Amino acid sequence: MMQIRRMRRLDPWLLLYVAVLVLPLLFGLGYSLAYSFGMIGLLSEGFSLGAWQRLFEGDAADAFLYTLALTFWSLVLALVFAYAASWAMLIRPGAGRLYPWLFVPLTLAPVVAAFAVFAWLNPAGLLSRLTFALGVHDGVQDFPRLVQDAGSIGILVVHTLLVGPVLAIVFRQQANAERMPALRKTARSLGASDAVVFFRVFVPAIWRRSGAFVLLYGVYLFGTYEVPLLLGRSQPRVLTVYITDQMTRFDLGNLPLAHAAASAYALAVMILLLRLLTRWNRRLLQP
Amino acid sequence: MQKQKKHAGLGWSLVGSLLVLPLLGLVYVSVVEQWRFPALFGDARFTLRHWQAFWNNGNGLRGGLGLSLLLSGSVALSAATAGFWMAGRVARHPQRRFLLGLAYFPYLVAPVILGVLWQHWWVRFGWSGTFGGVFLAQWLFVFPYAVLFFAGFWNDRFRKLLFQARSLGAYRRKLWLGVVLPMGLPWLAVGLFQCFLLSWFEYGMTQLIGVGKVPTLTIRTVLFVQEANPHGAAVAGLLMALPPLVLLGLNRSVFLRRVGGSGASAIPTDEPHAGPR
Repeated sequence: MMQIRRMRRLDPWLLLYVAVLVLPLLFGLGYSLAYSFGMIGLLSEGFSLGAWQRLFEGDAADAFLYTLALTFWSLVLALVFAYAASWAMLIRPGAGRLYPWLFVPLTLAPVVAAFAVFAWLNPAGLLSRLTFALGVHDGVQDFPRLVQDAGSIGILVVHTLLVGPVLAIVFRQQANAERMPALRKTARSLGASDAVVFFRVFVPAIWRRSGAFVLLYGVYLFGTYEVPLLLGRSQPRVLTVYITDQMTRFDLGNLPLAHAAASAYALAVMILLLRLLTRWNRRLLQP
Repeated sequence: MQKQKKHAGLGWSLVGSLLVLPLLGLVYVSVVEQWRFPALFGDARFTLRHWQAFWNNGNGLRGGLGLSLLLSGSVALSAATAGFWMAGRVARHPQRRFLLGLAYFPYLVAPVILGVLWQHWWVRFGWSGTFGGVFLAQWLFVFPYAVLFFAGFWNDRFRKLLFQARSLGAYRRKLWLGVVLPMGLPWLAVGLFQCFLLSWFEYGMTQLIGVGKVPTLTIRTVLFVQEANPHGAAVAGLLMALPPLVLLGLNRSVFLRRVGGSGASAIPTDEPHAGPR
């Protein structure tokens, strides 16, 4: 038995597995960190904290806060959609018809969803033309700005469209796995109103089962790139767009800043993930 | 009563069909031309020109479609088979939780950031702007997902079954051909398609590592948008939606990620009132 165990610990294939997962990240992060501290690079003048200081002021900090806010509101909207849809499918007799439709947005790549929403919501887009034909407004200038707008409405719409249905599908499956129809019936016959069932039973029970999944989607949304690239403004930008902008500029002086921001992002996600993995250990790591 | 119920269902179908609007919008934009502002139906000019351009490869779209299919197909095939096999090794190891946890890291750091972190190395090794380079970069984050996905297949129950089969005398080949593959086949199919979609939907990393020389459909779509050609973008977008739509028709569980222990999912019980796992 001991023999077998020792052999398994030294399984060369698993060493390769760990190498494939860890080395690319380490090498990438190592290079970017070194670059950000001015130790390598074309214009390097030796160790400096300049890029990291610039990270905490001006544009970079704005991009970080904006991304955080965007992630938060996208997640809130997606959760509202998902809870509403899965609750409706639980209590309304015909609402099960909604279920197959929920899969349709999942066929859209983020790029495609972003462009489709752009085609609908831009000032000369389909919605504008439809409402114009109905006489609601008097032309392009009159139509509210819904994409590349100050409120990031377009981005929020796409995020809700992409994440909301996924969560709704999962929530419905979880509700069934929790035997929610029976639970609701019991709670109702004990005198609870539907509102009470929703807030005291439905919401917490679903969250207990899928909180980890939802938070992973939060991490995914934090790294969103294509959607704000197509539907966002040049100011404020999300972190990923900010970083790639700094990378591809002609001004090489911004490269350390880009590398600092990229490594800060990667480290932040890893720390957050570490926390998630220890907190939701049983859900995330049970094969 | 029955009639009323049917009616209610119809209403919900209508609400649900709102989710098809983005796709319908794309279809519409792909068949109009000279699309000045108020034109909608009566005064719009309908044409199949944009689709013909795709068919004749006038705008590089047909090439892009082939490239995307080749890239995503090969990434999915190799990552899913390797992931299936490796997940088995991981699941049988005493430190399986730690090993599995590692797979979350490359998978969850945004691919575009991975592209930024890796760009230098890819340039140094001469992989930047090549098909192989993009393939490798995508593989490095699709493979971890495959492992996480297939870990669900190699669960406690299945490992016990394997143990039983082994103690009944099944040797290695018999174990794989007689137990693992027959039971794992539906998982392999779903996992394969999910890996395909991960690669199929990817834009940021492909752009950074491929530096525009590996023009997949996502790259083409963004190019069309940037050069203000909505019709081309709509055709490209529809081409990208087509394979997922076919998959949806075949088996919708393909679209359920099984990461984050979402309990239900990939090989799902679609039937209502299914008990807990």
